[in-house]
Amino acid sequence: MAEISAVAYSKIVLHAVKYPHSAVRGFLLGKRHGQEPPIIVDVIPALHGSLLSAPLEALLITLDTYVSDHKLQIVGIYFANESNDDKSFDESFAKVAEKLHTIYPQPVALQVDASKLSLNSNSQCLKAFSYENKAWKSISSFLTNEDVGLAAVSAAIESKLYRELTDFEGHLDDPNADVFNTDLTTKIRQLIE
Amino acid sequence: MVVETIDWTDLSFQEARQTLKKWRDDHARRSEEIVEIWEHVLSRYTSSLHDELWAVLEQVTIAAIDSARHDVALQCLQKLMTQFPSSSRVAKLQAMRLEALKNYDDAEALYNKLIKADETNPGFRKRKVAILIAKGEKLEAIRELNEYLEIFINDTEAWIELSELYLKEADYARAAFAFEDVLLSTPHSSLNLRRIAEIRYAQGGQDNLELAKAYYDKAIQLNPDDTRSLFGVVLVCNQLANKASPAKKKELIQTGTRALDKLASIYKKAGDNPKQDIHQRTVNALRTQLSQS
Repeated sequence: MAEISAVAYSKIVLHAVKYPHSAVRGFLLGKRHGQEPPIIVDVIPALHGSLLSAPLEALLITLDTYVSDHKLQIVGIYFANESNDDKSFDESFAKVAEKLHTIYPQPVALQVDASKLSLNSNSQCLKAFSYENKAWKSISSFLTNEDVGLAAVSAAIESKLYRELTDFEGHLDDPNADVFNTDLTTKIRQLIE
Repeated sequence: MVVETIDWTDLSFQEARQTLKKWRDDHARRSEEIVEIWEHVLSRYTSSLHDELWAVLEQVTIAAIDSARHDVALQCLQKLMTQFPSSSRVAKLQAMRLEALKNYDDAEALYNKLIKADETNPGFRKRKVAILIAKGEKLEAIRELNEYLEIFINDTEAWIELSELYLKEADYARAAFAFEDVLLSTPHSSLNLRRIAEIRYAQGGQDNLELAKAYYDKAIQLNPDDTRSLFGVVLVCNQLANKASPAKKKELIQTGTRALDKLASIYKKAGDNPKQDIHQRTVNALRTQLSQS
């Protein structure tokens, strides 16, 4: 069971909506409590194009600094495939999470099920997996507060907040763009209140 | 707030016209925004566009198809069909609309008809490859694209697409090979040099890392402020330094340090970024890592 905050859920969906014709990928940030599945409190959008290791490595080094400041951990990855009909598991990106396994045990992978994405969803669109005993297995996931989370995402999409989201590739193109999406987080929180 | 979100519905006629022209020239895929600009601004000024109207209509049709705005796509297509009744260029747009509606068989039939009428036109053939990609037939698409490139050997866009398809299969060797042809026709493109550097870096191994460094060096020479290339060259110098001879190591550390100095100065100026200090500390962490390699 992986718990996902409204902020994390919103950013994943906004990232996918922002780049409808590409695969998108990012990292999950969260808190762990012992052996239990983590609470995913935030995400860092990483790529919206081909999977290349150099920008991911640069991002992971950047996140090292960030997570210790905020007492968070990298708890896994998220991805949305390029095609809505492609339900396959992103093996290549999952390998990155598997490598994280030595530092962050039992990473989680969240996959966007595009067929469940709509402006007025009544259920969340993520499929969750956990890496245990060298294999990825399906686990359940839930939003901290489903009604609030879904409403926030709908409102975010309607007000086109995805235009304000920055992923790491965007940050590399413009160092003034904030890969931590500080202002966007504030706006999403305002939608929740 | 740094992210500049423009209200495209609020542009003047001239601003709208110029924006769409720029995006046409750049082949920018900003479909949702193009449709917005059309709906809220330019559709009211069709007579002021004169001959530019047709290029705009074509651009908006493609953007509308791309963002599932079939209402707008049909309106624009209608105008184009009326003006150019037997145009194969307009027929291609009709076929693209069929593709978007997942009517692949009819789209393919139309492309075959168009190819028969004009064997030398590369566009129709590439759309057939696009259909294969849309259907998820990746290996078929790669095969067809390779065949296409045997005939249309200088089609840079097709080489880029082939490279992307190989990357999706995690076939970095073939992706690099395909991208070499892109470099042949764009040897001074910093973006493309950076891209092939990243492919070689992903491939890994001593030879590929050295190639990656050479490409990164050239990319930075052409665009010294490219943050992504700068990070890349630091990463590759770090990796190479681990196994290098003392003389080579010194040179690698020098190159890496120069890049880190440049990154430090870039981030010093990034005052609009609320997390500026995180990035500055990252640069310092990389400095430490490099000196210990």
